[in-house]
Amino acid sequence: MRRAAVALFCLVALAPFLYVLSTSLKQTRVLFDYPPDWIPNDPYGGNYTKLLTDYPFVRWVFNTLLVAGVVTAVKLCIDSMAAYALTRMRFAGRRVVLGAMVATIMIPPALLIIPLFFIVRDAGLLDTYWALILPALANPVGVLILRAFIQAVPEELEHAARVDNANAWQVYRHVILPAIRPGLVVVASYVFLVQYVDFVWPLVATQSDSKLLVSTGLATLKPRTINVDWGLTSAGCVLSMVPITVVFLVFQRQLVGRSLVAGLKG
Amino acid sequence: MTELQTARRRHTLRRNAVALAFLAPSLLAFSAFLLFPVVWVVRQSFLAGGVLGPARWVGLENWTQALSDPTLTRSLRNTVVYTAMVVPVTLVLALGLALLLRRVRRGGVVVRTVVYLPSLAPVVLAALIWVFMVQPDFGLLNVVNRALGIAPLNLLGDERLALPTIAGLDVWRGFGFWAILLLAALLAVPPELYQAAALDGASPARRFWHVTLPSIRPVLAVAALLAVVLSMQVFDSVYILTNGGPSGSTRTAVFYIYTSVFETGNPGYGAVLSLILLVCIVALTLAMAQIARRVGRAGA
Amino acid sequence: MAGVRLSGVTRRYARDEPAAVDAVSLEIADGELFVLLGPSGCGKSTLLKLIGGLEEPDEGEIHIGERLVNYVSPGRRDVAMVFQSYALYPHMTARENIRFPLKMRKVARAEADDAVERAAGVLDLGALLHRKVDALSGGQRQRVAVARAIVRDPAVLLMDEPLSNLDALLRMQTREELLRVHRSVPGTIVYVTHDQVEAMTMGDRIGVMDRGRLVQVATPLEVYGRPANRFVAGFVGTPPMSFVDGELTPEGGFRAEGIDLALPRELARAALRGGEDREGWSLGVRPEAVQVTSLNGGPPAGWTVEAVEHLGADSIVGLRHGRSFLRSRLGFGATVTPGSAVGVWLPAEGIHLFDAHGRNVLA
Repeated sequence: MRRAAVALFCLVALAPFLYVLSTSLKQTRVLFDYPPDWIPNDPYGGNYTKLLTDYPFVRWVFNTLLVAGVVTAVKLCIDSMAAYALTRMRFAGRRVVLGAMVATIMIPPALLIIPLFFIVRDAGLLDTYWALILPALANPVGVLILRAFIQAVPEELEHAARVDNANAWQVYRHVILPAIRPGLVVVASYVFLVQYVDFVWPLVATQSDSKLLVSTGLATLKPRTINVDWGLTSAGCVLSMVPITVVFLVFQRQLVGRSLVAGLKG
Repeated sequence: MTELQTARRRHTLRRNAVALAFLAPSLLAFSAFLLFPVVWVVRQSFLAGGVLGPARWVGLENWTQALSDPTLTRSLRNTVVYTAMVVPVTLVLALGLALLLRRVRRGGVVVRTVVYLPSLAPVVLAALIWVFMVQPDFGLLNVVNRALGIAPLNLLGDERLALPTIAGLDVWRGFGFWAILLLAALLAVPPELYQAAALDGASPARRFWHVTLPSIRPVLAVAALLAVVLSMQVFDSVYILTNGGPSGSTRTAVFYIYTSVFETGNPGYGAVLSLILLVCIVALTLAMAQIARRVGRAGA
Repeated sequence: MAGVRLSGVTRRYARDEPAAVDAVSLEIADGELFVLLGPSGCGKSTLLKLIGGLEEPDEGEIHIGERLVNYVSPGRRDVAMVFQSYALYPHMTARENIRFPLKMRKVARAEADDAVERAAGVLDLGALLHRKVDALSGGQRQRVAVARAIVRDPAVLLMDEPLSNLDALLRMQTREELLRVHRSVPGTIVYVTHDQVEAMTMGDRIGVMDRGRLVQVATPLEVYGRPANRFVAGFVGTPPMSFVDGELTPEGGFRAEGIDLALPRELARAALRGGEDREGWSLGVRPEAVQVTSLNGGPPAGWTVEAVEHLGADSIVGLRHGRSFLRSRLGFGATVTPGSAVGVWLPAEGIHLFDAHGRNVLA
């Protein structure tokens, strides 16, 4: 009984994906057949080839991976440094900075799209990779998550390093960073995911086709006026899921469960 | 100054400098792309134009216009209705699934991964999938309808059904994610509590009500809060699925903000709308926090 | 090698709270093994951290050797520290841990390797150097921590309750080993502990702390034999000293429930000299000084035996008279029955007298 219910949930979650997968392997005229073939007798790879040749899908993936990769790498550095300063150093204005970071989490991203657009435009960076990368560096969530992990590092470890004549940078590099490796994985996965999925901002900040990401590129597959090529669109959906599923499977244990609950409670 | 005082001063300066060096890059990005925009929005709400030509000061004109704007009221109402449809349903389903998964041992990892997939998909992707699902001719939903003998529906074209359809997308996307979260919270409840309740003769239903629910209440409260805040900002799915139609029935608050800036060309007005939305979200959040506190006190 | 001098050092965490370290002045001689003893929360660890530079004093001066080090960073004070939790770098091997301070000082490869070998030799760690920290037992980790501390030959070695995480047998062995290290590696050691047995056996001198204040600084024998106040008297010594509250008589005696005796001349003179109130005084006696006698006449009588603890070599007897309570140590072979009435005799040299403020009248 219980197992049946769980199976039902799984089915509901999976069915749309599977249907899309099966559609991606069909030709458009076959789509209207009823009842539909779940597993097409004659798998049609044409949708995929059309996707890869007529549309710069590879370019979309490349752009997305580039932007997401750069943002993740940079953010890991600057967020961990800032988190270390905010957690373990005493300095003028620490409470103010921390307070500002915590308060701004509540701000809906929608609010920021407009001013960011104008800021980026006035800086002449519209429609560049910078426009996609720089604003993403501001999100304070990474700093706050890493702060929680740094707080869990025993202070005595830092004391020992300081007595051993390590300066702040050396303590950061030899003691803090190795100790918060799980936290870095959590933040990296989170940042990468958010970047991969981002839609509104890239939509607003870029215009040229050369800057299309997976998210904005997929949107072009559903033009508002012409009829949608479902086979093509399905192929696009399937291929787009691949990178992110891979990332998820690799970092699965960190992303799902314990760390999230601990973060929520604390 | 004594030797000690100079030493102290130098030391404090050095300490602040080191901290600043570590903090600077992040703080710079944070100030430029988060703090400054917030200030900008407030200022912009008092201006008009600015997209093509220079902006001009119009004082409270944008505000008065917004507060009497029927489209704004309608879009806020749409958003609240949408949230009210999505959040309770998602959380109830998520809780149900989490309770079921609590005892699953074999294949648990597979189930968790499968169920989590819809949340992984970028909203755009999920939206496209969903468009496909509700497509009148061969969408999965209508295939099922046909099999059951019901006439195929054009959900997205129907004024009354479009918003619930988008809500359905969010429920489908969300239930796996929240289920995993709630599962972690459920697993953190100490088994002794259940054992004590069982010894006291409590039935499973009562055990759920008196042990499970109170124990996961903090996580549930935060989840509800987060879900509401996210729901109130829905945009991507509306853009892909219905573009605000039919007849503005799916025009949500953020969508309205987007069109007023990038289609109508009035960022000042968009700024006002954003601030109003922010106030609504904060008000809703506070109200929910109050209710949660009151329920907590009553239950505890 | 250097001594440590503290003058009026104060460390306060919040303005309206009592100071963690309150106006402590102390001089530790070069090469001395000085023990800071006190209950948890008395400020001894904070004081150690102040000497080490991990905390900054709000008032006062700290000198190491001749240098004023108030705002000198810990790495530059020529001190090393062994932490209660050992604080070994978890992802490194034992060798890398010991090498770390030298690496931070950019010591040449060959020289560093030599120093590591020497330190490892002193602590008998040769075979364990290649192991990662989580593959070491508690005792082994502790030795690695000590090795890391001595590898660069610091002027002052600071130890914060290094033995408290070890079991009793290991604790005794390590205690002896630490003393051996101290003898072979000359240097000043400041050692913090709450265990008075450790303090008594290891220290050249002991500094007793209570609630942020340094209460007494003296050799172990002095701290034991002439405690500065009730707190020290009750803290040092197992089983602890017994106290009986009572009053002074005008003739220079002490009276309490079950006790009415003439004070030794020295005590009486010191007590009456202050001209203070004659009430609120307390008498302190160590268990080994309390003699139990039979009831026939003689010195204070009428005490009831409340409990007897047999420790093997001797027994501890609890004696009660109304509100007064005394502990007596009975030697090998002597027995008393619980509930019986006995007499109590206190020899002159075993009596300590404390005034209404708890101060030893002879201090």
